[in-house]
Amino acid sequence: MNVLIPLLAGLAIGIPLRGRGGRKAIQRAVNAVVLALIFLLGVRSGEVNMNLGWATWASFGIAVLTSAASLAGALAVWRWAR
Amino acid sequence: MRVYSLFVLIVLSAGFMVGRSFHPNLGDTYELVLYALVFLIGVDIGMEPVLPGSGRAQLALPVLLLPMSTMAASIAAGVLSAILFGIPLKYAAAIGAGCGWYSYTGPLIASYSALYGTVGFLSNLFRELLTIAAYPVLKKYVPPGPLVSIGGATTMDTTLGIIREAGGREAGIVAFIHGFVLTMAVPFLVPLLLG
Repeated sequence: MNVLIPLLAGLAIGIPLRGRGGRKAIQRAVNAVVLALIFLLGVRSGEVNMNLGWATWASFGIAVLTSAASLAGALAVWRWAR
Repeated sequence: MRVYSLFVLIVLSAGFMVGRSFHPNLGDTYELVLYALVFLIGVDIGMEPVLPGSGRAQLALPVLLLPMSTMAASIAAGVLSAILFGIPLKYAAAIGAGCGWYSYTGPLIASYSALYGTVGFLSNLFRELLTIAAYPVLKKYVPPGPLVSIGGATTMDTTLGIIREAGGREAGIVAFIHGFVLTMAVPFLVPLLLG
């Protein structure tokens, strides 16, 4: 829940800046911070004893399940609403 | 595989090897960088023009309902994966709610659990890659509009190009609106599901 505070603070700053430019700079900063965070995620993962084979298999399974479920839901909504 | 996705996997692997080999004491660095990212995402979302390029005709009922069904189905699939893979329910639901946004979902869940953060990261990255590989193939069997749902939140940026190219202009517009709505929702829903 703590994470909602910086998110709302960012929104409060971003909304008044809408249409004034500078968004490219923000997106470049996001990209840089994302890479730093992914590296730190790797460090954190490396420090704990985990079964990488299971993690990869489960991740692939979840990716297939979420994609398939989304498609099934979308087809149902599309037919119902049209 | 896209070059950027490959680069992201290399960065993750490099971090993994550093963590496994040196066990560096990073203190609160991870949380601070995470909060910086969430803050910047908030600024970026705030600066986002409201549904740019969308006209009244494109805001038809099925198009507006599509992101909601994608989010509900992704969370439901997350819950199912909790049973199939033995993942605690709140993490599985949050991983599903990530809707392909790996750079947000993975690190956020990792602030609670490194293992499930890694699964959250990889599963959402795989979802993006799956969309890039499967959209042009599935388009022959499924209408291009609802098919955009497989891409989740990525359909407004990283997978938009392939959807536009394979599905046509209308699918591109549906994809943008779909991804836009999900990109607004994911930063709020994932932390709420984590509790």
